[in-house]
Amino acid sequence: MRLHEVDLPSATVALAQRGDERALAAFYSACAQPAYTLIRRIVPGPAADDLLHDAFLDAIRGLPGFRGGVPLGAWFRPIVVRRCYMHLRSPWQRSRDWLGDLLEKVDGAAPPAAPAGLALDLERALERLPPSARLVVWLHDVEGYTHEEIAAATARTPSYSKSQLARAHARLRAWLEPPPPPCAALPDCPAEGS
Amino acid sequence: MDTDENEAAIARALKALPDVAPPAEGWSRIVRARAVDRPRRRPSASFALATVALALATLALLPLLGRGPPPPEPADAGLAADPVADLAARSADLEQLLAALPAPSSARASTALTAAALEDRIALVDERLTAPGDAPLSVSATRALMRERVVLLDSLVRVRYATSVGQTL
Repeated sequence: MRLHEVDLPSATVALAQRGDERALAAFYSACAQPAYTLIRRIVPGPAADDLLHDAFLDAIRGLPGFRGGVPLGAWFRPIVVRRCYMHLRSPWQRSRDWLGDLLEKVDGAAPPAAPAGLALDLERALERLPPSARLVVWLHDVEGYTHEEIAAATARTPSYSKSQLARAHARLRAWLEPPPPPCAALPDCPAEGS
Repeated sequence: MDTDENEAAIARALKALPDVAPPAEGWSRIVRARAVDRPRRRPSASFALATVALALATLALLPLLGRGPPPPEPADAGLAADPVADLAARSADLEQLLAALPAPSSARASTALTAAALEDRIALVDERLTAPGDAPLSVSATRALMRERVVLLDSLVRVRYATSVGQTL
């Protein structure tokens, strides 16, 4: 189940809004896995644990302002996405992005080659995308965000989101494409030494 | 397979990736953080008097010991040649220090305004560091902004530190 589909009984939500520990634990229990999945796909690595922690603290502080009308997970999701985005836009992370882009330009825009004979699996390929492209592709392809919603969440334009998505898809396709079979496996392969 | 089909296939494959289990200690960590976050109990009068007496005794003894309270190192010392990564690390250290300081429960209006102005300026620097645009900031511009951020954060730490010392006394 995706985060925005998670909901709790309204009585539990009301208790959680008043700070009831058991209701808050139920909120965590229902949302932790989909929230963590969302975070880990956008921010792979140890920072994901802290982002989950901070997102829940943000949500618990903001819960009294939840007015219902949407599932609790749908209300929580933008908080999680905002935490991820804030992490990606931090100066340290941004300088790493910038360095990565620069190195890619220097290397001739080619992604690092996959090990010979192996197509990258999707999970590894996703992790290899630049962080901003990973954010866009996950929000669009999996969470169902529109380009306008991505633009609003990331303080960018819809065309930035579209171009990031197109580049991310192109990279994923290239990385996931299975390598050509070895010549010996082909029926018309010339015999060795001929 | 055409491009649209390819993209739909990628989206389907991404959706089919397995969920990731959250950290086992996640909830207990949140409970601990919330316990720290809660407003502290008002100290009893005797505890407050003992704290003031201890603080006064410490202040009286400091000159005899030949050292004062440890002033934070000036942030602008030696920053000129720091590369971006060092500045980012110092920035992160100062943010950790800020996070460790107790949240100000009350402060004089002038102090609160100073802190707010510093926070606004830091936000402005962050905005300039992350402004949308195709061209990335040059290394020298990034370095100048990061240097400014470190100096501002350092000032904010000093203001917040002074506020928290005032609260304790």
